[in-house]
This record gives sequence, C-alpha cells and structure tokens, in this order.
Amino acid sequence: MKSFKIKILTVVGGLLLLFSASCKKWVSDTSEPLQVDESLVFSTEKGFQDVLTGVYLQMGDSTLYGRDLSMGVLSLLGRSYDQNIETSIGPLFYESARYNLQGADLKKYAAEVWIKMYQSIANLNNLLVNIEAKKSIFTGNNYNRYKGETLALRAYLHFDLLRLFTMAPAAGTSSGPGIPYIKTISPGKAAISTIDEVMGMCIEDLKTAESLLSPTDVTNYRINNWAVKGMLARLYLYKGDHENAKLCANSVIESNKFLLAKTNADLFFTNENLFNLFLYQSQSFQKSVFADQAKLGLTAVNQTELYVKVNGAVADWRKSFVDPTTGNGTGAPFMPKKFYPFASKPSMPMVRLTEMYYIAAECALKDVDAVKATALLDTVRVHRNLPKYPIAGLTLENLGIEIKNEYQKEFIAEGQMFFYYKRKNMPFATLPFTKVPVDGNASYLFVKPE
Amino acid sequence: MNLKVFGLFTLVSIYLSHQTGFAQEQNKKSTKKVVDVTHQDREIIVSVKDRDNFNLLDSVRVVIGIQSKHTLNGVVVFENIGKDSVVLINKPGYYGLVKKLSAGTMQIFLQKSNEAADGSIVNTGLYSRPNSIFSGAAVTVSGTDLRKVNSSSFINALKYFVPALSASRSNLVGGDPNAISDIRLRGANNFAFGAIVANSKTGQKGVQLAPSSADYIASNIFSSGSPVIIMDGVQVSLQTATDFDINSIHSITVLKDAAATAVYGLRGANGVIVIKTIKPQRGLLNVGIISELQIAAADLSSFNVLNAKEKLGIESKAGLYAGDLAPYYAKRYDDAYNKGINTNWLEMPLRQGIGMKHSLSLSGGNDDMVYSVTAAFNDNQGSMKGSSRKTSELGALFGGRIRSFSFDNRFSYLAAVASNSPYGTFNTYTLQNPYWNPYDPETGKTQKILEEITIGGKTINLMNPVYNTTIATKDIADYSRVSNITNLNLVINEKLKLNGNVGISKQMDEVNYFLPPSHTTFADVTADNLFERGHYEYTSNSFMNMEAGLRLDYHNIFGKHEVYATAGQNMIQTSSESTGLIVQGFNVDRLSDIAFGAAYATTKPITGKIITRYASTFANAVYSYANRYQLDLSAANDLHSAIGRNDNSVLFWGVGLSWNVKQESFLESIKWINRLKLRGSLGTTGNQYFLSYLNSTTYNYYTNQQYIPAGTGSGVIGRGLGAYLTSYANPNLKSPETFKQNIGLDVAMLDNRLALNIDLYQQKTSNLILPLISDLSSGFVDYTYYQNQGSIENKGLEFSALGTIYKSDKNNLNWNLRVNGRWNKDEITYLTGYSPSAIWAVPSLGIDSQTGVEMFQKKDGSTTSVWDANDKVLAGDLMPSLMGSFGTDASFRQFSAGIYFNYQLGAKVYNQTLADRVENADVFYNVDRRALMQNWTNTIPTYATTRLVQKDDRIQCSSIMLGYTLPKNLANKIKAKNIGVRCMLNNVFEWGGAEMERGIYYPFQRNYTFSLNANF
Repeated sequence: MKSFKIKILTVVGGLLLLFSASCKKWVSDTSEPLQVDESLVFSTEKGFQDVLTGVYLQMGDSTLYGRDLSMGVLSLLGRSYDQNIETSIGPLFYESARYNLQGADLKKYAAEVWIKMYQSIANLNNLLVNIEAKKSIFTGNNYNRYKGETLALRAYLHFDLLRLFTMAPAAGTSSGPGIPYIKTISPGKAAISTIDEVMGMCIEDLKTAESLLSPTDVTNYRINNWAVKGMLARLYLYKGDHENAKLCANSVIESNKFLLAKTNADLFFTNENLFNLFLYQSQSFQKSVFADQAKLGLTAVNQTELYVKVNGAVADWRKSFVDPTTGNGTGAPFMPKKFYPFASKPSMPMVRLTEMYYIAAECALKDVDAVKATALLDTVRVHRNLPKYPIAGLTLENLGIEIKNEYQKEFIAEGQMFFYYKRKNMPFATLPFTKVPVDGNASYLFVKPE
Repeated sequence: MNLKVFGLFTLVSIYLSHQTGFAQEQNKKSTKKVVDVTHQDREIIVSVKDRDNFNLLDSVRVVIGIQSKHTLNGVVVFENIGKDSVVLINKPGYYGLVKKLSAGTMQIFLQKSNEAADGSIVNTGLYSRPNSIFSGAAVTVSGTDLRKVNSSSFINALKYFVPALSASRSNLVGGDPNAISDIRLRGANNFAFGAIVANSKTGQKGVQLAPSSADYIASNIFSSGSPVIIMDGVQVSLQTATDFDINSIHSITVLKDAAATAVYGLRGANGVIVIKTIKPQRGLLNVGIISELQIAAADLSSFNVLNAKEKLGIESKAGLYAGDLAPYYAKRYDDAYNKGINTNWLEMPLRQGIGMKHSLSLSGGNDDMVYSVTAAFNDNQGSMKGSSRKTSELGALFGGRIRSFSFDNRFSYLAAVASNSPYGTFNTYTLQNPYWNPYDPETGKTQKILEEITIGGKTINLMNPVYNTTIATKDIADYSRVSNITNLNLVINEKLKLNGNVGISKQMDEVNYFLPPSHTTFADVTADNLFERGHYEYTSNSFMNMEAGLRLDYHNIFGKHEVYATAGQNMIQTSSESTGLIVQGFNVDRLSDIAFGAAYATTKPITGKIITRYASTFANAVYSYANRYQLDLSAANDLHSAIGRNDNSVLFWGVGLSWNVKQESFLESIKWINRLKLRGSLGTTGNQYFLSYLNSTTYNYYTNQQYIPAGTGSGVIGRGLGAYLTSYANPNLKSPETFKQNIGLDVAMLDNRLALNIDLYQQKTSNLILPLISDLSSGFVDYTYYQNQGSIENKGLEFSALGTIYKSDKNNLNWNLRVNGRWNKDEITYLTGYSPSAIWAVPSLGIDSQTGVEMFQKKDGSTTSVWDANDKVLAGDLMPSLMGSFGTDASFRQFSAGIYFNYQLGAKVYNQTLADRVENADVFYNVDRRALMQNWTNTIPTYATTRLVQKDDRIQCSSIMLGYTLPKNLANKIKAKNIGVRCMLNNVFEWGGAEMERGIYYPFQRNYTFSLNANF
C-alpha cells in the first residue's frame, strides 16, 4: 500500500509538473483563425516579398495610383481632359476639374488618400522592423534589396503626401508645417514635421535605399536603384535644389541602363521607364475613367493644339487618340491610345526616363545653357518620332514653354501634370484646357483629414 | 473556468466515493491478519469518524453477523463474534460501508453522502471548505429556497438572497422571454465594450456576428462586468444557465471577495456564481414530477396614450391641419366621432401568454452505483403574440465506485427555440393613431395601408404594422447543446485525494430572420426594384468548450491544528465560429426559406472564428488553529492566449484571515450568541472578458489580386501574392487586475433565530484594456491598438439579516423575515472621477412662465435660454446607491406563504418618455397623455436637461407565493412520497419610480405560475 501511494504521488507530481511546462506552449500556440500570424509570414524570405508586394498592390488601389492619383482626379486637376467635363461625370471628377479641393467631395477623397497611404506606410514600417529582426533569414543580396525597396517606397509615399497636402516650396515658405513622417509603426499621436524636414527625411531614406539597391538590377516593376535616383532628381527639383537634381537626372541618363524607345509598339513605353506599377484591376479603372459614364478625354481640337502646333507634328507617336468604344482613330477619338484596348497595358508609369531628360533640361535652363537643354529635349523628341528643334534654337523662355508642353504630351492622363503645375505654382487662369471655371476657393492644397 | 470545473468535479466525486474507498484502504494493513483471526470469542471495537472533520459519529448503525448496534460517542463494542468476517456500517446522510473485519480496534471513516445546501460547506467550485473556517465572502442558497421566490428565473430568485447581485433588465427589452438580464456582483469593474467600439470608430476585431449564445466570452464582451458562472464544474454563459431547468438546481454559491475568488485567477474579478445540480437519490427508483402552468400578462400601467378624440384635439391644437394635412381632418373626424373608431393599438400585439413546464426525473442506485435520467420541457410564452422561448432538456448521470476509485459521468442535451413576435417592437404600437383602423371596414380583413396622405405632392402610405403578422415574417433563433462531463476521483488515503475531470460541450446555433416581400419595410421599394424586396438573414454559429483538470486535495488534523490544502491545474479551450448570409429578392410571402431568394445581398458570407486557450495552476491552503484563528492563502498562476506575447502568465493571490470569536473562552458563557465570526481578505483577480487577439500582429493575403501583368501567368498560384497587415499587437498586454479588499462579520444569536452578515468592500480595477485613439497618420484605422489604461474603483457595504420570528415544531409553524441591501459607489478613477453610469445634462432653471422657454444655467453661472452641450453637469447616477430586498415567509401545517420585495434608492433616470413622447413628440403620431398639457406653439426641442432627470426610487413586489403540501398519509395513499401544489405571482406590482414608459420594445410582464410537484 505504501509503495502504491508513493507511486500515485509521483505520477501526480510528475503530471502537474509536465502540465505546467507544456501549458505555456499550448497557450502560446493559440493561433488566430482567419488571419496569418506575423511570425508565420516572416518565417521565410518569401513572406517579406509578399508584404512588399502587398504594398505595391495597395498603391494600385483606385484611390491611389491605380486610378485617381494617375488618370483620375490628378489628371483632371492636371488638365489632361477637356471632353465631357460635366456634372454627369460624378462630383469627384467634376469638382476636381473645378479645383474645388476645399469642397466636401475632395475633402473626403483626400482623407481616403491620407488614410490609405499611411496604412501602406505602417505596413512598410512593420516590414522594416522584421527585416532587421530576421536579418539572418535572407540569402544573397536580398536583405539589401528588401530594405532598400521598403525605404524607397516609404519615401515615395511620403513625398507624394507632401506634394498633395502641403504648399509647394515655390509657393512660399518650406519651413511651415508639413506632414508626419512615420518611421516606426506605433499607435497614438504622430508628430508633424516641417516641409523641409519631410523632404530631408525623404532624401535620407532614398539615399539609404540607393546605397542598398544594386545598380545592376533593372527590374522596373518594382523600385530599383535607378528609380530611386529618378525620385531623388524629382525631389531635388521640387525642393529647388537644381544642382543635385541635375546630378541625379544625369546619372540616370548617362548610365544607359534604360534606353529610349525606338518604336511605337507600346505607347506607354513601358520598357524605358524606371518604375512601373502593375495594376491588376487596370481594366475596370480605365473603363471608369474613359468609358462608362465618365468618358473623359481630349477633344480633337485640343489634341492638335497640344501635339501639332508650334514645334509639334502630326506624326508624334503620342498623338494617338482613339474612340474608347471602338478603338478606332476615326469617329470621335478622344482617349489616349495608350490605354486601348483596356487592360492591355496593365501598368502605370511612376517614374519615367523621359522625366530625367526634362529635369536635366530644366536644370540646364537654370544654368542658362540653352544648347544643353535643347539637346536633351531633342533626344526625347527623336524617340517620339518628332523632328529636332530648328537649328536656330530656342530662347530660354521658349524652352521653358517647350518643357511644359513636353510634360503635357508625355504625361497625358498619368497625373504628373498636377504636380508640375503645383511645383510651378501656376495661376489657375493660365492652366490649359479649362472647360469649367475653377472654384472661388480653388487651391493646389488637398485638405488633411481631422 | 477550469478551476471551477475542477472544483465542482472534485466535490461531486467526494460525495460519491470517498468514504467507502477510503475506509477500505485504511484497513488494508490488517486484512491479511483477518484470515488468521478466526477466534469464536473475539472482541472488536469499532470507532466511526466523519471523513471531513474527523469528528466521532454517534448513532451509526454497525452490523456484524446477527448483531446490530449503534455507536455511542463514536464507538461501539462487539463481543462473541462468530465466523462473520464483514462489518456493515450505516448512517443516514452518509455513504454506507461494508468492510472486512479486522482484529482489535477498527477505525472507520464515513463520507457525507450529500453536500449540504445550507451553507455549512462552502463549495468554491475548485475546493470545499467548512464554512466555520472559511475566510472569504460567499453566500450559498439552496435550490429549494430559490424556487420559493421565483420558479422560472434563478437570477431573479438569487437577487433576493444576495444583495451584492444586481440583475437589471434594460428598459428597452422589458419582459421579453428571449432577452437576459445584465448581471453584476458588487460594483462595476469595467466599461461596457460596446460603447468603446462605437466611440473609437474602429473595426471590431475578434468580435463575431451574432455569436453563439453559449459563448461565455463573446456574450460578455459587451457586458464585461458579468460574473463567471460555473455549472457542475464547467463555465457556461448566463443564457445557458438560464435555459437549464431551475428545478434541477441543488444549490448556488456566490463568491465575492479575494479569498473566495483568487484561485479563479484571471476569471475571478467579477465574482463567481457556482451552480450545482441535484445528485441522484439512492434507492430502487425515485420518480419526481413537476408540472407548471405559466401565464404571462403585459403590465401596461406605465403607458398612457391618447384616445381617438383626444388625439384629434391635440392635433388641431398643434396646428397639424393648417397645411397639407388639412384635407384629412374631416375624414379623421368622421372616423373618430361618427364611426366610433378608437383602436386600442397597445393591445394589438399583446395576449395572455400561456405556457407550461414539465420536469421528470428518475434516479436510483446504491452505494456502488448511482444513476439518474432527467427530462424537462419548458414552453415559456411571452405576453406579445408569437413571442416564446421553448427549451427541452435531457440529462443522464451515471456514477460508480470500485474500491477507492470512483467516477461519474454527466451527459446533457439542451435545446432552445427562441421566437420573436412577428408584430415587431412594441413601440411601433404606442405610436399608432387611435383613429386608424387596422381592419378594412368592408371586408374586416387586416389592411396593409392605414391611410394614404399627400404632402407636398408626395404620396405617403401609412403602413399597418399588424399586416406583417399575416405573412410569413420570421425571427427565430434556436440552438442545441450537448455536453459531457466526466469526473474521476481517487482517494489515496485519509489525507489525500486526487481528482481529474474532462468536460466537453458543443452548441450549435442558428438564427433565421425573414421579412417577406410584402412586409411594410419594403413599402417604399418601387416596382422596378422588385428583386430588392424580401430579406432573409441566416446565421449559423457554433461554440465548443473543452476543459480538463487535475487536482490534489489534502486535509489533516494535528491536535489543535487543522490544514486543508488543494493544488491543481486546469486547461480550457474555447472555439467559436459564425457564418452569416443575407439573401434578398423574394417574390412569395409564404415561402419563408432562404432558397427562394434571388441573390445574395452581400458579396460574401460574413464569417468569424475565435479560439482562446487558458491554463491555470492554482493552490489554496487553509490553516486553522483550534477552530479559532484561520489563515487562508490562495494563488493562481494563469496563462491566457489573449494576453501578453512576450509573457502570457499572470500571478494572482489572495490572503484571508478569520477569527471565530465565539470559540474564545470569554464568549463561551454567553449563551445567546451562537456564532460570531470576523473575517477579512485581500488579493488580486483578473478579468477574461476582452477581445481575443489584441496581442497578435497578423497579416492576410489579397485573394482578389496579384501583382503581375494582367493575363500573364495569373493562373500561377502564389505569383505576385501580396500580404497586408490586419492587426498590430500589443505584446505587453496585461489582464485587467482587480484588487479586492473585504471585511466581514457573521453573527448568529438567540438560538440561531437571528443571523446577521455584514460585508464592507472596496475593489479597485486597474489596467483596463481600452483602445488607444490613434492619429490617422499612424495607419491604425482598420485595426485598433489596445493598451492597459485607466482604472475603476467601487466600494460598498452589504448587509443581510434573517430572523425567525416564531418557530414551533407543533403544527410546523414558523415565520421568517429577511432584509438585505447594498450601498455601492462606482468611480472611474482616471480621467473623470465619475461613475460609468453617470447621467449628464444641462442644469435647468425651469420654464419661464412668461415666454414658455426653458432657462439654463451656464458653466459660468449665467442664465441663458440657449442649450449648449458644454454646460452639461453630472445630474445623477443610473445605479442606485442602495438596493436590496426584503420579504417574509411563513408556514403553518400544510400551508406555506411568502411575499418578497426588491427596492432601490438613490437612482436617477432620464425621463425618456417626457422627452420623446411628450416634449419632443411628433404629434403626427400618438403621444403620451401628458402631451395634452404641452404648449404646442413652442417649437424648441428639448435636449438633455436636468429638468427631466428624475428620481427612480422604487419598491417592487417581486414575488408572492402560496403553497400547500398534501399530508403524508394522504400522499402515501397514492403511493407518493410527497405531493405539493404552489401558486406564485412574479413582478406583481411596483411603487414609486419616475413616471415613464417601461418596456419600450417589449412591455414588462406579470407572471403567474401554478405548479404541482410530486415525488414517488
């Protein structure tokens, strides 16, 4: 009996001990069904790619670069369309055409942009934390690549938030309040940095990214070393730092990693771009802008105005417009042909090589080097099936106008023109193709949500 | 939960098995000798002791061979024993024993066969202790007492005995049989979660669509102050406990302070309600039958609406017929005055709800084996037509014992069907104008449109809500629940016993909600949107709870020192799932099946899935010196999947001290004091009612898009796959912690005729889990970050007095009186310093008699006629400062009677009826009678003003009971052990309180119950 008792006690004691030890694991292992735990996502290299890809997908949302920050709202603000600018296109587009950024519709839209971009930034920041924490998991150059891409995307989003929600440096002081630059994922309050500080932090992130990303990797459906340089050039120009802008733009141009197109097979010139964003839902987004109820586009008169007059030519590859329903050039062609047929062009250029030429040209103007500027513009013109400028050359002032015209032609329906006008702080009266009068409260400033 | 389960199990097993098994072991040593001892003239001394307290037992029948004797002073002596080698021991209230005879002196321990429901043993669910040495604040109420007060709701009955328990029904749900009360022990320990979710505009992570009613975590997320309910060792939701037959309750123990709840660790902060069901009775076959007739009648005493003529009068006075409505006056006047139409809309959805309840139990067994089979059916019909709750229940218990090992297995099946009235909510009917006729005057059929009016060229159809009852409107929730609890018990020796238990329960719920296409809801859907008419919601939920536990109990007495100790381990896993579908586009009213719908109203089903795991290692030890001074120590080291990440363990502790003053020599001579005990405790407990996944950072994958060029390799799974953040963890999340302090005094005097209990408590809950409001730029929009912040403190005093005014064995005459109450004060000790149930309103200076405009006092003391939300002040508290109950019962011969009251004092209420149905009333619809006094030219709406904050001091007669028991000799004639009949009235009447409509969506109701109880 005694030994039986001892046996029992030993077994019980053992069980209790075992329980306590295994309980901890049992409780910790509770997973959240319907969701994937962070530890599982980041248990392989592929997981890091998935999260990064997730951010690219988020950027392809219709509110962001999928539609409204490219061919939608920003292209209406950027005056890419003069066709069908009526209330029937819906309040968001119509009020965009009126530059009514203070109005309720665009306030709501601005809030969505703000929220979605900062959500993507939170995703990037959590990714960064994990990249550092699991550094040993990476093979080859992947640590550098993931970290570089993440930092570059963070800068890209912050820079566009800055361009949307704060005044351009050209329009006033850049020491005023900008936006929060979020570097860590954390809840609660976020401090607002000045415009200068935000630009500084963007540059810092981009420079780190540049040092991490391999210059030999020229995959252009994600951010690469050259896209980062391109973004730096864009940022410096916006900031008014022409010296650095020129350096960055030239380094891209001179690298010859990306070459200008020789044919018009692809009117998006996808291969020459430094960074394109795939849009999985491009078809429905494009339809919602160019077909269906909106049917936005540029009328034949203004197509001629933009592409043919002065130094243009009918042969310009970019002057290809089609009827969005038939795809034919006859009838009522008003949609840039690059979008036709819908979904055939599943990406949106985010940083174009040609922008580097324009930036370099603008910097050359600053240096009062008309020859250099003309040469840069001519390089692009040749690859767009246009003749070079007349030998007589252009005045500096005319070159400025030419650069603006080239921006308009090159970036039609891509949203970049809004940033151009804003950077130049152009008076609303001078904007081209104004179909409806701008609102009394017209402004280049998107309204930050409460 | 686990802990409780453990405790209950152990207790159960204790009854079933200890004594016997244990006694056998005691004598194992000598069994070998027995063979040798064959002397004809042996002398044997048998001493018999109680297994629990080692007291010598008298009047134990001891049989050896043909000799039968009773113990005196615990001892009996036998001489001249023949060849007999066994001894039979028997005492009522204890398990009988058969033992081998040994030589000389035998010591035998007996185990009580049934735990007393009188509170002499405190069963905490995890362990039992004699009340005399228990230092915690706990109350035990027997099932019999409960059923005397309320035979349908154990919570309402328990409220009468336990002043610490508040069970409040929302004024909206009233007497709805499908709505449960909000219960709380002592003060508020948390904020209601719902308010937080709504305020922070965040997604509801970890919250399911219509979770299973068995999900005790989900059902308490929104009422997180609810105590834990342990039923036969497993945690259940209040709904489950309420659906079980009240007749099967043996006793309920309510645990309040730290000494009583610390072993519950993470679960203990809100207190614990331990329910034990009746154990099988031994015998060949015991049959128990209870039949009840229940009648529910709506209590409309708080409603006072206008009749047709008055209504027309007030409409004219208010200028309703000055504009577009002018053409309708004549018709309405004609209807009201000439045709005599004066519809009593309040009565339209109401009825006398007649339901019935039957319970049957069969049980039997002997000391080695017991069984019981129970069945119950309860059809609870509400006072609104078509509103009912039907529950059916089957239970089977089987237990057995082999030597020192015993087991029992309890299986139960419970099913409920909850139907809501097709009439919709009651407030629809309080609005209908009495001059409207629900029936077509020509055909007498229910008409769909009461009146058609044209305002500003637009035709408006005023729909008849009664019409919806003529079509297949459906609103039914049903579930079936299966549970099995196995309990194993091994008596190692007289000091040690081991318990193990495993419990599994699974419940499946379904909710069907159907609005047919011609339902008045779709009256405005135009003909070309035909496929938007009709609406079917189907939700399917399930909940599974698995528990396992192991526990070791120790008890020993060394001279004046007595030690009880228990240590154990529990593991609990809950998993719940829900899936909801919404289908629309129905064409036939009668076809109330989801299959007849045209399409989904949503693009995908709404799903939810939650798993939680909880493990607790706990221990309790009580040391008692000479039954005078007790030290009670508890600790629980709990692990929970929803807290922490880095460290998910929390340590809780409790210390109790008690002093039985009566045991001291200086009180020994004072005969009129029977009991005097001082006790105190302090310690910590936690709360498990918060969202489950706040401690995990999670991702999800985009399933509808890939980051690839369209049309290129989209078929390749995983290519261009993107993941996104769906929640961000607080890896340091801690359980909320409640620090409890309690001082109590128990007194019994005058030959136990007067019993007094007083408890003074203070509870401070800190580390509340609350959302952090984040900037939009933090990215925390679709998910919210929760952290430990804030605290709530409550303090109060509970008292309870029970007196026997007269008691006589003659004629079974006795008369008892009971009074109890609780003062309580809640305070949010961070941010505001006010009670969470505070009412805020702008101070009113009354209505200016000249202008008829209400004047307010601003924060700066100035007077204004402009209402400003910034001027709001604390205008009162919804929770009463003092609440409790009192009542009396008496018995004489075969008759018994009782009357029981609840009261509350110091509560305030915002008179919503005055606001909504008088001052801000839309006079187009029917209004409260007080609107007749209203000056209808005043168009300023009334906002929150102290003028409408009124006292809500109330006394409610909660129960009147009359009973009669058939005399034994008559009962025996029909072979019955006893037969009784009882008549009970619940919610009889109410005095006081603000004059406002009570039971907005469903009227409160009076219940009449007639029951017959027979045992064979």
